[in-house]
Amino acid sequence: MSVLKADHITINFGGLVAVDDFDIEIEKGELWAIIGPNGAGKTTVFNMLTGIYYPTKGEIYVDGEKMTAKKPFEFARAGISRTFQNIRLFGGSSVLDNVKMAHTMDCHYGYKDMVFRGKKYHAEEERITKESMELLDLFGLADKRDYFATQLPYGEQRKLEIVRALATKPKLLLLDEPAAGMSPGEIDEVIALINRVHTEMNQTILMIEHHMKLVMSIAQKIKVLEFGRTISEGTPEYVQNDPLVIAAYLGGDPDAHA
Amino acid sequence: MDNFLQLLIYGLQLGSIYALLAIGYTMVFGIIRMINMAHCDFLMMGCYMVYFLVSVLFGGEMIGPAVALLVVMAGSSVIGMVGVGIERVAYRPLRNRPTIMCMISAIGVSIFTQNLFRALPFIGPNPRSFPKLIEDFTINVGAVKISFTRIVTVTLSIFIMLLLWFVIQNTKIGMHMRAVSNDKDAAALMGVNINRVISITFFIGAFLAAVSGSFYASSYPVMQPTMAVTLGNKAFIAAVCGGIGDIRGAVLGGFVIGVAEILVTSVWSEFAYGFCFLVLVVILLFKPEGLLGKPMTEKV
Amino acid sequence: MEKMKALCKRNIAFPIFALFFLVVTLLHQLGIVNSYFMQVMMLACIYIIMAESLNILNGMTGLSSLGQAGFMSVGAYSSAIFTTYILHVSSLPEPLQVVAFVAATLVGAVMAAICGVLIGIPALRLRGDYLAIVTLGFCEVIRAIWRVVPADIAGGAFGLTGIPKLANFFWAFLFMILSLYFCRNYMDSSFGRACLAIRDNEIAADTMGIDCFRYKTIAFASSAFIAGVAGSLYAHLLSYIHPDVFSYAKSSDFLVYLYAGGVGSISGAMLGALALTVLPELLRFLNDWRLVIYGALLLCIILFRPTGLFGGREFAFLQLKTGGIRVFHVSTFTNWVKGLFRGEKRVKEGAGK
Repeated sequence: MSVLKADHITINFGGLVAVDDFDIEIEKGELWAIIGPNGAGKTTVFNMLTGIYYPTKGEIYVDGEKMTAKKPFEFARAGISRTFQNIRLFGGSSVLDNVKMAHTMDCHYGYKDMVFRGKKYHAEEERITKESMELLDLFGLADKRDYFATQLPYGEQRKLEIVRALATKPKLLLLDEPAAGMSPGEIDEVIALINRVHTEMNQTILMIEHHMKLVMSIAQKIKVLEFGRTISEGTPEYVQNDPLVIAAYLGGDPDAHA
Repeated sequence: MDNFLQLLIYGLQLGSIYALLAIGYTMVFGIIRMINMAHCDFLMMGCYMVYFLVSVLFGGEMIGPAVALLVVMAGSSVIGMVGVGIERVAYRPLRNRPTIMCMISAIGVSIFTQNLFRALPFIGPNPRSFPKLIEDFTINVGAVKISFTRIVTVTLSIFIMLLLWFVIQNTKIGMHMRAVSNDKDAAALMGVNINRVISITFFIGAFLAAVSGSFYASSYPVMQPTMAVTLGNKAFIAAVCGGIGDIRGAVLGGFVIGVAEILVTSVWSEFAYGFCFLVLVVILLFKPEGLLGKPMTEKV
Repeated sequence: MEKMKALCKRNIAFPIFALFFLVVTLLHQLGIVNSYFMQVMMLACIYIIMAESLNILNGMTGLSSLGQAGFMSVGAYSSAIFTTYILHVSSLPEPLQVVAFVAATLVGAVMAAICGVLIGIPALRLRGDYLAIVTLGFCEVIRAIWRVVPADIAGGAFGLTGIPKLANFFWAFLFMILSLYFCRNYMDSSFGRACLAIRDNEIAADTMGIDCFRYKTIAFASSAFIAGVAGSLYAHLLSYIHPDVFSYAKSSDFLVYLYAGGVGSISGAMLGALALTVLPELLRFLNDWRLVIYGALLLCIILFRPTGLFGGREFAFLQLKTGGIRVFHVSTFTNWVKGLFRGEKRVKEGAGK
C-alpha cells in the first residue's frame, strides 16, 4: 500500500486555483521531489499534505487511511512530518527540547503520572531523552544540546528541523527547500544528509527544492509544477529532457524543442 | 416612548464620551499593537488640568462658552504633551519587546500616576467638584428634556471625530499613520518617521481623552484620582467591540456601549457594568475582529 | 553517582523550606514578628501561587490571560460557600475543620478548573491580543455574576462575610510549595514541553503532532486549578470576600508580579510575587508616597530589566530540565553582584540567550 496518496487534489483561494488536480502516489522507500518556478504552488501542496490547508476537491490518503478534513496534528500522527521553508524551530527552547517536543505524541503517560512523577513518568522521560540524544548524535548536534535553537548557525537550524521532523518517526518526511539559502559547499552536505536519511534510515521522502544539482542527483522521481498544474512527471532524466519543463524554466514555445 | 428617548439622549452623551476615549485606545493599538492600560488616566489628568486652569485664571467663576472651549482645548493640549512624554519614557524603550511588556509598563504608569495624584498635597485622594464652566439650561422637546451641556458634548464630540477622520484620510501625517498601522517596518523603509508618528498618535489620544474628561465632568462633576478606571474599561470595551485598530469602529462601539449601558442601567443597574463585558465577550466569540475589524491570518 | 547527587540536592530543598517555616513561626511565637508581618507573608504565599498559575498560561503556553483574578474568585467563592453554607464548619470540631478546609480548597480548585475549561474552549479560538481581551471580559463577567447572585447564597453586592478563618501560615506555605512543585512537574513533562512548543511556534507544534487545542485547554484548566487553590486560601484567610476584590486591577497585579519576576520562569514568578508583595510594606514609612514610589520602582524594573528581576533563570533546587537552561546557582548570583560592583556586564553562561 502506498504511504501517501493524493487523489486529484485541487485548492482555490477565492477565485484563484492555486493547485489544480494534483495527483501523487508515494511508495515506501521512494524519494520524490517537486520542482517548479516560484509561485507554482509547491508549498501549497505541502500545506495540503500536512492538513494546514484543506483541499477544495480531492482526497488524501496516508497508508490507506482517508485524511480529508483532518487537522495538522492528525496528519503528524498518521505519519507525515515536515520541515518549513522559513525555518520554524521552537526558538525559546533548547536544541534537545526541540527534539523532545517532537516526541510529545509518543509520550505515553497521563496527567496523573506527570503530577505525581510515577515510575511510568521516569521511564518514558528517560526513553525520550535517550532517543532524542541518539538522533542528535547521529547528525552531529549532540554537543549543542543546551543551546537555544535560534543560537545555532543557519545551516544547523535547517539540520535541526530535519532532526525534529525525524523524531516523530514519520512514514513520510516532507522537506520544504532543505537547501534554501545555502552555499555550494553546504549543499553538498545537504545532499549527503538527505541521502543518509533516505538510505540508512530507509526514510520515504518528498521534497521541494529549487537547486537542480541537488534534485537531479538524489531524487528518484520528480514532479514539475507550473501555475498549480502538473506539467511533467518521471525520472530525473525524463524530466530534464521534457520540452514542457524546459519551456517552463527557460521560457519559449514548448513545440519548438519537440 | 418619551422615557426611551430621554434615555437615548443620555446614552448618546455617554456614548460620545466613550467614543472619544475609545479612539485613543484604538489608535495606540492600531499603531503599536499595545493595550494602553494607562490611557484612562489622561481623562483624569485632563479634568484636573481644566480644574486648575479655571481656578487659577478665573477663580472658579463661570466663563462662558467661548472661553470655556479655549480653556478646555489648552488644558487638553497640555495633557496631550504629557501623553507624548509618557510614551517616550515608558513605552519607547520597550518597543522591540513583546507588546505585553508595554502593557505591563502601562500598568506601572497607571499605578504611578493615580497614586501620585493622590499623594500630591494640592490634589489629594478626596473627591473635588469640577467647576461649572457654562450656564446650563434645559430645552424641552415634548416630554424629553435636553440640557445645553449634553447638546454641546454630543455635537462637539462628533465635530472632533469628523475632524480627526478628515486629518487621517486627507493629510500627510494621516497617511503616515495609516502606513505605520499597516506595516511599521515597510513604512520606515519608505521614509516615514515612526517615532514622530507614534508621538503624534499619543498626543491625539491623550488630547481626546482629556477633552472627554472635561465633557464627562461637566455633567458628572465629581473628580478623584481613580475616577477614570471604570470609564476607561468601558471605553476599551467599546474600542474592542467596534474592532480595535479602526477609528470608525471605536466611534460606533462607543455609542453602542453608551446607549446599551444607559438602557440596561434603567432596567437592572446592578448588572450594567457586567453587561458591557458580556457584550464584549459575545462579540469577541462570534466576530473576534469586532464589528468593523478585518480578520487576521497567519501565512504558513 | 549522578543519581546520588541529584537525590542529595532534592533533599536539601525540603529541609530549607521546613527550616524557613519553623524560623518564621518561632519568631512569631516569640513575638519578634507581629501578626501583621505574618499576614503579609501569607498573602505573599497566595500571590506566589497566583503568579505561578499565570505563568502556566503567559509564560509556558504563550497565551496572555488578563483575567486570572476571575479564576481566583471562583475558587474563593465556591470554597467559601462550601465551608460556610454547606458544611457550616464553625459548628464542627476542630480536627474536622481542617479536613473540611482541605476539602473546600479542592472543591474551589476543581470548580475553578471547570470554569477554566468552560472559558478556555470558546476563547481558545482567538489568538494573541484578542484572547487576552476576552479573558479580561470573562473575568469581569464572573465578577458581575457574583454581584447579582442573591445575598443569602454568595453575599451579592455586599460581599460574603463570616467565612471561617481556617487558613494559616502553615497551609499557605504548604500550598505554595505544592504549587511550585506542581509547576515544576508540569513544565518538565510532555505536557509542559507541548505548551512551550505552542508558545514558540504554534504551526510547527501542530505539524509535530501536538494537539494544540487539547494542550491549551489543559494549560487553562491547570492554571485555573492553582488559581482556585489561591482563591480558597484567600477567602479563608481574610474571612471576607467581595466581588470588587477580584477585579481587573487584581489580575493586572498578578501580571505585574509575573513580568517583574521574569515570565516563563517558575523561580522568577515566585520571586516577583514575593518581592512586590513585600515591597509596599517596606515602603510604609513613606505614608502617602508609598505607592508612588512602588509604581516608580516597578517601572524601573520593567524598563531596565525587561527579562525580569531573575532574568529567566531557575533555582537549582527545582531541578528543571526543560526550559530551565539558565540555572541559578549561588555562584551565578555572587558573580552577578561582583559584576555590579565592577560595573561589568554580567557573566553569561554558554547557553544563555
